[in-house]
Amino acid sequence: MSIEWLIERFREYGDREAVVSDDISRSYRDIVRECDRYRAFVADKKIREGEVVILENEFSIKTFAFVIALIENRNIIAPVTASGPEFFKDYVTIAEADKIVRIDDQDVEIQSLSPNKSNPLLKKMLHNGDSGLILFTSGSSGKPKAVLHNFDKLLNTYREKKKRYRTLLFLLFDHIGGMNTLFYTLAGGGTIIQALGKDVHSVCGQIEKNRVELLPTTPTFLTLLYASESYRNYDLSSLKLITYGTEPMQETLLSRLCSRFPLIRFKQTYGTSELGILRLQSKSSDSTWMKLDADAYQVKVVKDTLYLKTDTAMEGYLNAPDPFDEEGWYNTGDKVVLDGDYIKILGRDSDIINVGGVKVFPAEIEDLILQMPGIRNAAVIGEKNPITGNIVAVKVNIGTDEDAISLKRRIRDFCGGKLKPFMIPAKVYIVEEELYNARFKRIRSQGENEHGRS
Amino acid sequence: MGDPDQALKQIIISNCGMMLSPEKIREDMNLFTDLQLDSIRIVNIIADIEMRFGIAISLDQDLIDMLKEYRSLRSFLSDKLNQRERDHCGT
Repeated sequence: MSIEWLIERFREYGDREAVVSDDISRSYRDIVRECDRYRAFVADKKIREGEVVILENEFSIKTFAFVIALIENRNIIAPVTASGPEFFKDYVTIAEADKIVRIDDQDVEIQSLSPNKSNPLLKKMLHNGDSGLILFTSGSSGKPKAVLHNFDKLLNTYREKKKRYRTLLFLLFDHIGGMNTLFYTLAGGGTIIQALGKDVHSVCGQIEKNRVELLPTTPTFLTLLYASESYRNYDLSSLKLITYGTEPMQETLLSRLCSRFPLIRFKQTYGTSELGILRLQSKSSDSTWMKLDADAYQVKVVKDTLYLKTDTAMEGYLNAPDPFDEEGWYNTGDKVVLDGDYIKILGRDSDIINVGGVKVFPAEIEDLILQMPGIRNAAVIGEKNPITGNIVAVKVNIGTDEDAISLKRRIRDFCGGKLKPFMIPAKVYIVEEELYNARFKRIRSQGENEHGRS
Repeated sequence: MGDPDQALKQIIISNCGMMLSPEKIREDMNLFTDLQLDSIRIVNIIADIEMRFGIAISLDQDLIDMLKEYRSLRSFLSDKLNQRERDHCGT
């Protein structure tokens, strides 16, 4: 399969603005030029077809052009952003990497390796002459898994032209969401605004300055945006659409966002590193109910868990057993409820806290606690307990010097009557560290007695 | 370390779900039967004790025996606080 169609699109878009980074604007013509340059570089450095290349870079027009050149050369590409160095050695080993490449403004650093080639999925890809994409899942517990996609197949989903937006590249380059933002926008002739800072002030500033129209983000970031009220200091009138995914959105937060930003449409996305980003339809801007495109995916719900079958699914994990069953169904691990054709995500199976045999979803409790004054962020966790098996605890970031006992009293009063008694946190930890990771997903480390003022 | 009696009684009162004065909490009071505390209230009492006194009550301690009588809970807590003080003084 060829990606000539994509290069042809870039030629067609010509002088249209493609990428804005640090006040520098680059056109589609510039992308084509960079692609030519990196095509020559790949040939010059004798990067052979089927070799695995780890690209240790954040997004830039150069890294993007290099990725395109590698896809054309039928390589397997593993983008790794600077945020994941703790696992870098593992990444190199798992991917059986032949090359590590780092690109900066002036230079390209290339390191050749001689790995033992034994992974059957990589061998199959080389045999078929396909280009591949390796994504390392964030793996909040234990070591990350390496997801192998057929890159050509994944890119084919962007052939259909969509609406053009000026889009902030908020999600990381080595994340399925970041890749989706990039290819969705550029295949459609839109403009990528590179997010230079991911804190609320920086993001709002970049939206105002670059007249951003589409912000693809996470519910955790939207929580911070709403709670900080930073948006009041910026002109966000250019924003037309905010898409959110990667974790469940709570309806009260969505409802408050819709009231606060009545001219912005909110749209849920659903995707995983294993399946890619799936097309779906929301019931409405203020609804978390969604309907997956029945023509593109097969959907079933077994014991409240969502199973999916799709053509864009990964080839497999490089370092873990095949998660698909004999019929090709993938267990998403997401607990859902159904209303006709519509689905609502309640939370990850792994996040559920079992209190005395009753399932508790952290997101519902977090949503309520975040409505309290003085709470900047909250992450609900389970802790082992001899009486009920587990209890509900909460880690919070606050903006005052309130002590944990007083805060627990406030939480208990606030949640009383709104949550069932076993859902009200029995323990409260006031912590300094941020409760989200580099991908703006809430961190819920389970189980240990730990940290912070309690 | 002073007697944790008053603070402990306040914790029980704030979690028991009924109007109760500290004097009504007798030494031989069975927290399960006399106060009809369910598992969630017990869990909250233990969590509040941990938070208020800055101690950890380990999961292998015989909580059921400890909670049978108020005096055994108080005695457990006094021992724990005295132990911590000894550890702190290095004796």
